[in-house]
Amino acid sequence: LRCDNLRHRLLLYAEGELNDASRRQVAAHLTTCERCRSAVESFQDLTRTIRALRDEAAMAPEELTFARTVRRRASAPRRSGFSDLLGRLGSWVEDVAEPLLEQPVQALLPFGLVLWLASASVVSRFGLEGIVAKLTAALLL
Amino acid sequence: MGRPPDWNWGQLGFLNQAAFEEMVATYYRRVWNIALQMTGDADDADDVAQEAFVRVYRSIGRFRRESQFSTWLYRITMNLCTDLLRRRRRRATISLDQLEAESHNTYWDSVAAGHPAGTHNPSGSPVRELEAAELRVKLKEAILSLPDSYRSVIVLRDIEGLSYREIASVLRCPEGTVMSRLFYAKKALRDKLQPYIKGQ
Repeated sequence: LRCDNLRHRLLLYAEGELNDASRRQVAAHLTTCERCRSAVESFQDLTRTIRALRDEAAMAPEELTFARTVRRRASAPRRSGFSDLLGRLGSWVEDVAEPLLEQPVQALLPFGLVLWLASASVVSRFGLEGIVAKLTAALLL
Repeated sequence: MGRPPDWNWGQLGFLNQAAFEEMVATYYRRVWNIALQMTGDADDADDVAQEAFVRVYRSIGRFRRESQFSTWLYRITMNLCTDLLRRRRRRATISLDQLEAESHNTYWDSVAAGHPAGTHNPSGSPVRELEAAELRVKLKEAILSLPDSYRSVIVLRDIEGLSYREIASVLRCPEGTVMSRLFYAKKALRDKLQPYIKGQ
């Protein structure tokens, strides 16, 4: 077996996920290859280190407090379909608009130009010049 | 901490208050820890964990029982984490510096300064304790720096202890993809933590 062909199997070996035949093959290779043996050891050590983070579950809020909050939220009246839709729409607009508003004005110029050209083309395509002129006059006066 | 038995369907389908509370008690610490490791923020973990159980409560009727309850619950949790991370990334341009400062002031400090119960180094050596605390912080930073798809498999595999098949079911992807992501995720972590990991 060549090291290159074993790369992915080393992790499976380290995690005890190989079938017997494969495991024996890898084990035989490891007796002669220091580099792969070292890789297996490093995967095992890394896994042990990550597993230590399981104990952070103990930092979760106290059970009673958590259960009460969930119960209160779960039993709160649900928003109607229409207000839920409005809420989603608002949140989408916010998500799109916020990053734009944070840009410097120069960065928004191309965006504004594209928007203006698109609007102008829609207005001329559907012959809406009269309506736009009336609206503009109403806004300005 | 061993894995909890999967939930009794009859009870949950009935959805009485006691059954729901028992289910929350069984799973909430695990769901909270998954959310914590995915988001790196205790407040976000609170929000995600609460929302996950609220969704279970409201949509238990739509649950298809061909998969395990825990798989469904973890899928909801991972989806909520992914949504939150996506929103956070969109806003990252606004306050990247502020975010870093906040996470260091709250979460990292609490991790380095006071470990949760049971994580105290029993050897008692102050140097060892300092090293262990430093490794923990570095590990968490390394995990958070991984792409979401890699972080998901690390959290579900090593922290939650799911099998490759269960992870594939939670993330709705082939088992081969799970194995491949796990390999590259661990390789990336090993490289980032080189000075701390044995056998390199």
